[in-house]
Amino acid sequence: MKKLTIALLTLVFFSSVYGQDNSVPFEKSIFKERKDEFKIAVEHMENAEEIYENYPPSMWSQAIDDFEKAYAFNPKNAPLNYKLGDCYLNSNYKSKSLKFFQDAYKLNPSIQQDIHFKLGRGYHLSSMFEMALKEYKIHLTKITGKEIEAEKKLTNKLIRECNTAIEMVKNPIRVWVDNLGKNINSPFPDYAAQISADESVIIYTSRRPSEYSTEQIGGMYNEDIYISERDENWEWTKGRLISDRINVKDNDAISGLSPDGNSLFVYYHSGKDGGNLYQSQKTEEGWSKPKDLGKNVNTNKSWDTDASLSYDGKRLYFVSDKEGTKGGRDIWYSDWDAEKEMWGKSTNLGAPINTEYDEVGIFMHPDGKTMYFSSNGHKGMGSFDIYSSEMQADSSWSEPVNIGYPVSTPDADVFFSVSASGIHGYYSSFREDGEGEKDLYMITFLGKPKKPLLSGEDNLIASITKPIVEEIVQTKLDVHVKNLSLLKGKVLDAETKKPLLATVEMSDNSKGELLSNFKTESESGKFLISLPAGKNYGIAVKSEGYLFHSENFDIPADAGYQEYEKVILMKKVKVGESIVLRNIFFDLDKYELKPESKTELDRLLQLLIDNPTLEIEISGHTDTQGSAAYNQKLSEDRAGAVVDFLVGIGGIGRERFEFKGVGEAQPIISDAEIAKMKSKSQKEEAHAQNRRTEFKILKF
Amino acid sequence: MIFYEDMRIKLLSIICLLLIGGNIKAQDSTFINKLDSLGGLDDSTKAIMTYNEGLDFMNSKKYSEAISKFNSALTLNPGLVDAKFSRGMSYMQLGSDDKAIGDWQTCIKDSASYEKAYTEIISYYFNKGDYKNCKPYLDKAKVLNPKESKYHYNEGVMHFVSNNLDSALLSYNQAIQLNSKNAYALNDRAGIYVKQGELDKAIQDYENSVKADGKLSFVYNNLGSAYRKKELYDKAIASYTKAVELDDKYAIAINNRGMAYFAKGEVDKAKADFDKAISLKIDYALAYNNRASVYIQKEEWNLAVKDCNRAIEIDSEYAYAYYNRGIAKEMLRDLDNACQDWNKSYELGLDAGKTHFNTWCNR
Repeated sequence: MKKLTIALLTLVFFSSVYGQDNSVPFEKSIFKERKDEFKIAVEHMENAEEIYENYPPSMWSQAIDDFEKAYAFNPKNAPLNYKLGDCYLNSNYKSKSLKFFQDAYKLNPSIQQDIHFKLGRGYHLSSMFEMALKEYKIHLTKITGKEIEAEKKLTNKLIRECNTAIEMVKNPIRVWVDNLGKNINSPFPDYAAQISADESVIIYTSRRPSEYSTEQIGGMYNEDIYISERDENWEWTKGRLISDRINVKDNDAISGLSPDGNSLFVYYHSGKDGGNLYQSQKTEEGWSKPKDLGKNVNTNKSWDTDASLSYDGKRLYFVSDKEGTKGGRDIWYSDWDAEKEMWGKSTNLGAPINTEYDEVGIFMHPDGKTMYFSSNGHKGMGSFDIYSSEMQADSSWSEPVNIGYPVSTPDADVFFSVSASGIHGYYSSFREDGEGEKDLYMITFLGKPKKPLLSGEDNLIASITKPIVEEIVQTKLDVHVKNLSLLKGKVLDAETKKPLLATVEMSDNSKGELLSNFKTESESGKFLISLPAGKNYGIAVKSEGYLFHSENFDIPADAGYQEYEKVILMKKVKVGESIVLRNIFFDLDKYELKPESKTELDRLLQLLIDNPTLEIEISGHTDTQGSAAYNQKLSEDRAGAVVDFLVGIGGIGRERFEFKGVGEAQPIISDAEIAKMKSKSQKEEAHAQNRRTEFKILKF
Repeated sequence: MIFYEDMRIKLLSIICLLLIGGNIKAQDSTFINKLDSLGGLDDSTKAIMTYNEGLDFMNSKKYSEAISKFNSALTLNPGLVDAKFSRGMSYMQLGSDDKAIGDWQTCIKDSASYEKAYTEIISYYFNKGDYKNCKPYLDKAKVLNPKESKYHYNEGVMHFVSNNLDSALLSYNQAIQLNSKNAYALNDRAGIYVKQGELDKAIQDYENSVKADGKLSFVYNNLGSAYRKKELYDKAIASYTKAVELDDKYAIAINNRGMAYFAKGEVDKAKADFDKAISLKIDYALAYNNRASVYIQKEEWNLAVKDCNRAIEIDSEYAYAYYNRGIAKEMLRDLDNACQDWNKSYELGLDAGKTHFNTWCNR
């Protein structure tokens, strides 16, 4: 009864203070004929008011049901309309707020001092930007009170957002947006998708009930991390809890995933004062127990949330509101300290990425230079929009660019990950046609419209009646794709064909430096590495007791997106085994070793140092272009140059070597096979395969 | 008597001269017979007279009778080259090409400077597109009459067809220098300029060509295409329209005008032209493909696929139609088939097909 009285008083207060309204108050005398219904409606009001008055706006969505029931009884009450609008404004159904604010205003134009601001918000979130502008501008003339400057600042920001939105809606980007389906999404909030570079694994956060989340707190189940993989038909398997080593009774949320899908960043809430980042690795036994990322990343009393690894795994980008922030949450980075085996001191990324507002949802693309993040501080449509920025030659970041409407919307758009190809993006969104609450969606970037090709013909030769069709014009196409190659491999024992745990070293041959190394999945022998375009990569696969295997990928800067799949068969170190040294380079018709060969030679040298009894034969092979005699001599000289390096620079005894030139006698691909190839590039590739240096174990 | 004899010879000589001049018609043969009866005509004179009778038959399109007369004339005088030449002309009319060529070749053998025979042989091979057989005769004809514009023109065409554009240009230059109103040569030289990307020079030549002969619809069409390539769409449309005014069944010009409208962004007018071109030429693959492009622009994907299908049915090697069908299928979210189409267009020589294939079809 006491609560009922409070509710009635509140409603009467609204009505009397702002007066001159057509609002129908919740008064017993008005609803004499509907006593029982009135009583129930007031009870609903009471319940809703309890939440509205005593809890933060993020909880107000829980008041909607009761307010709606009261509204069904008396839709003409201005304060009720206003409050219901407010509740919707703070829910996933933001655009529904508009109707209630409009009705509240109609019933009583003086309902609240900020009604024009709320109307502006309603219009803004309903993508009615011109109307929103009008309301915000009226609000600017009506601001009073202590917070006048802050409110003016906020309103002006929203006005700017509306102006930006008007422009962005005029120039939408072409996308398809597809719900990821029932195997991924649930009737509960599903969000924060993290995707492996090849889109074969998705890990995401869900607030659905589970063995770890059995009760709702504040109307929501706790966050849990789920995983799903593509099946053989490239469909998502049913999402499942990721691991009992990762899922906990409290909130556990995905923060980031390495491009190869083998390293996972998890956010664990640590009470009122914040939460921290942890890392879990995929191991033979499954996902490891997450480890704290350490003091240089996590700090007490700060929210250290989203994380993303650089393509080479050497730098960690993360979000934190710790001391040193430019305002709110910022993006920071920390480099891996190989000596101390920990993440080093963190640095705020600064301008132009971070602003006085919030930057969250960091995602580093495997191309090694593009960052995606969400911000409410950059030029956007409202709330959080998604931005990209590219690392420049001097390692600075370009001015962030809004990814564009309709991916960015007036609502909060956070957590966006992009496939290696750059064609697909994954994010969460609330849509009426979804599975319920927030769902995960895949965006397909269509790029600019593909222009059709037309043909004409002319009678260019007057005396010949047959017209000449216009020659095919090979126009350069504008293709929205990343300059990146993905190497997807599987490492197996050459004899048993069983998967091997191996280390994959990635080197920049032109600089002679080791870029990074990765472990294969021991269970499957699989690995995935990103090779951003513009480098000559040496890839070496090593496993104990086996000869190393080398591959070369010379990827031009404008190569576009390519995927390579390799099955690497590792040979045991034993007499008679041989391997091709793919990263030993010579200039055309010369036998001097090019500097790019250094990493491979060092590898070979190390093998000889590690195995002092090893004696090997180096052989040079050429293609069949040029005379046989010439090729014979050239191949011999080249084999000799390798031995000279290992002896002269490496200090290995010459007696441990034999070398020979094989010339063109032992091609990997025969001339007959090459002759059958259609394109010039295929043929050249085949010749390149035949030009090689090999070594064979003579004694061990 | 001697006087009389002299008079008779002189009279016959005058008659022969008149006959050779073609001034005496076949119906005058009675008169000639009478003359013959006066003292007898020699074979040479009789051959000429018979030849003239043959010409009359030929002009009356009675080719078999003409051939018979030419044969008689040649029996009387095997060296009468004109009779061989005309017999060849008659054979050609009767479709006995080999006999015709044989006669003309004999003419050249008998008289190496008999230019008419060269001209006919050149025309014969040229029109058949048999430039290999044409060339030796053309070379000799050029030596016989280096000032004849049409020989240089023919030579230009032969170079043009074999894509030897620099040589073609030299020949056309020569042809135009000898006859600045050679509308054909001006048209063709412009064609070379188009191929070389020198559109201003092409436009200049096309404009001179239509000034020299304003009835050549194809020159207006070509001029339109040069303007279109220069993105001067209004001028292009005007020029195509002129071509269509001269020949309202000219599907090529109508299709080209559609392309100009398309480039100008007037897709409905473009579609109307492609419709018209198709109605004039039901197997016009290019127009189907172009109309598919309009449908793509209008995002009418199914109609685009349908028109591309027709274009491909007509010409299974038509790379553009596969490429465009790929675009439409992609937008219909039939990516597998879109990929197949882009790949096919690449196999047919369109690099753009490969670019799309690599971008969208990697998986």
